[in-house]
Amino acid sequence: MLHVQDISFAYPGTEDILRQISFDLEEGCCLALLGNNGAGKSTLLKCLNRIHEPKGGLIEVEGQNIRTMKRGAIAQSMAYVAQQSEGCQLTVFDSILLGRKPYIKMNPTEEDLAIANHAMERMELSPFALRYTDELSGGELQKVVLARALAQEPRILLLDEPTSNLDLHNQHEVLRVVSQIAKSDHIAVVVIIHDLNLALRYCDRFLLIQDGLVYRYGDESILTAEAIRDVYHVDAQVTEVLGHKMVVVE
Amino acid sequence: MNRTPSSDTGYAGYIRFKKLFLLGMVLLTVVIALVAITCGSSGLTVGTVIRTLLGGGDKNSKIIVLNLRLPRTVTAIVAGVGLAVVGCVLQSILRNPLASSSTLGVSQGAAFGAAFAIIVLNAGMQSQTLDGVSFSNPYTISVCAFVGSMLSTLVVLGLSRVSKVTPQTMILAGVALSSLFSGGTTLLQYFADDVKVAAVVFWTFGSLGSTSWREIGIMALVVLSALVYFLFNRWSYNALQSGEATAKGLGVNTNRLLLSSMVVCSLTASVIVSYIGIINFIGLIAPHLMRRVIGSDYRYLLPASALMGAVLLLLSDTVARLAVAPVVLPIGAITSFLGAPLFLYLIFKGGKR
Repeated sequence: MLHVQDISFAYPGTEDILRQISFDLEEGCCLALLGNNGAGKSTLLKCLNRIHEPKGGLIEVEGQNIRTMKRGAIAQSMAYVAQQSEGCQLTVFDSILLGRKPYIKMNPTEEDLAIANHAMERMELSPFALRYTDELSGGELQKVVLARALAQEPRILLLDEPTSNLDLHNQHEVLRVVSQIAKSDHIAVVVIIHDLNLALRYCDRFLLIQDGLVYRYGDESILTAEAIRDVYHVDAQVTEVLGHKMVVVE
Repeated sequence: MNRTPSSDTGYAGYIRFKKLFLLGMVLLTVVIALVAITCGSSGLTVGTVIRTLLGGGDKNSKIIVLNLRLPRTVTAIVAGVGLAVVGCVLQSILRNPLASSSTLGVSQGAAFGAAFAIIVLNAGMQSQTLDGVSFSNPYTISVCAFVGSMLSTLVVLGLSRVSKVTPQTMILAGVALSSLFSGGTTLLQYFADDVKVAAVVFWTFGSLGSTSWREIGIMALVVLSALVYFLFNRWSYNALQSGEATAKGLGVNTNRLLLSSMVVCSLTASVIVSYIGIINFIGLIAPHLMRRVIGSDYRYLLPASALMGAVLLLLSDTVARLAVAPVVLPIGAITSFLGAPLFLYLIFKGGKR
């Protein structure tokens, strides 16, 4: 579904931040982008839907080169949730309805309203429908932007640290919903997570990035003590608790 | 899945409120326009004004209503709508709540152009009347003011091609150009005689009483075109409120939107300023007032700001005409006097709805 081949990226006048990044992702899969701060995870995520223009390489969504796609068409295929979300004086429902922007010609149709409402209900935001988003807590706002991304009905969901503002319950709740949607809606998810245990719990593909290069890519078996030491420079043990694989930092 | 939010969240009622509010603003604009046409030293009644507007009335009321007050009122509505929507859009694309046409150096560029026309090209003051001043060659002043304000825009656009296009670079370039044009105007005034300096100062006061129907037509065409363009992009302005990356993720070409909106804003503001002079605060306060009432959904904020701009400029002009009648006070000063305290009240009140 998502084919990424030899992607490189550099800001003007700087060295390459991303070099020769390649991976493939199937529908229904949830890929965790892992790596320490400054490794290039957010930059890679922004390259995938051309928020940043890659310097070189190929990105295909369901066989279509995104360089040949218009922005509106890309937004219909890929939804992006930024690391920092900003509230404003738009209601929760109107903010979610914005997810239909790539489809709306002049005014939203009944179908657009219904899809936005469904996304709002999925994220349990209906009680806040008429609240302005700048009146919400960080966690509630995070759910709003996720609901907006779902309203885009994307084939690929790109999430930059979606759990960063959430409490423990909501971290699990949001990732559970996201991984469930990946399976039920047959979409692919690429998510940046710093918590390796959350990644192990809800993702089934892992891409470890180190200094702009792919260190390892594969299933949970790539998350070894050695890999964690190389990428994060910490000693850790990979063990099993209550049937779940877990990383315990020594 | 088939349910719309109207069924259980009150969204339909919420949208109905916004539509009714817009309708109320239209009615308010009409009422204030009628009051503006009626009020004055000639003792007209609202009934006489309406009769005259509908084709009746005596010769005297026709002259006062159709030749004097109606053009002035329509100018106030058109300029108020234009300045307000320009401010509203600039606040969105520059992501700065203080943005207005002055931010990009449009006002200062126009003032320099007018000063150049009056001082260097001798298009200066011919006579002073109770209604303000009349200039020997108003067309030259308007053309030069327009060229000055567009020059500012073109420099900002040119710089944005050299450097990265960001709201911050646009604002900083606008500030630098404003300073440059202000310095240029000061220098021109320094070497001019008293009469010409007075003419420049009078021009910068702003006036709604010297526009012809032809000029009003040009202004209306530009303002209407800009309003249609802005409304066409209303969803993009909404998306931009969540940040540039999110807007791009929603399919908005943010660079193109920023540049094209800036060109339309500058063009609209330039045309208005070149005809009526510098009028502050309308572009700043009208969108802010409306944001407090109906939020920042550009589908409704744009028309609401447009109507509020018209209402504020009509009110300011009526106050300017009546406060110390028969002398007409400078409209630019009145908008600042009414706008600044209102703006301070809004800031310190702190409420959002």
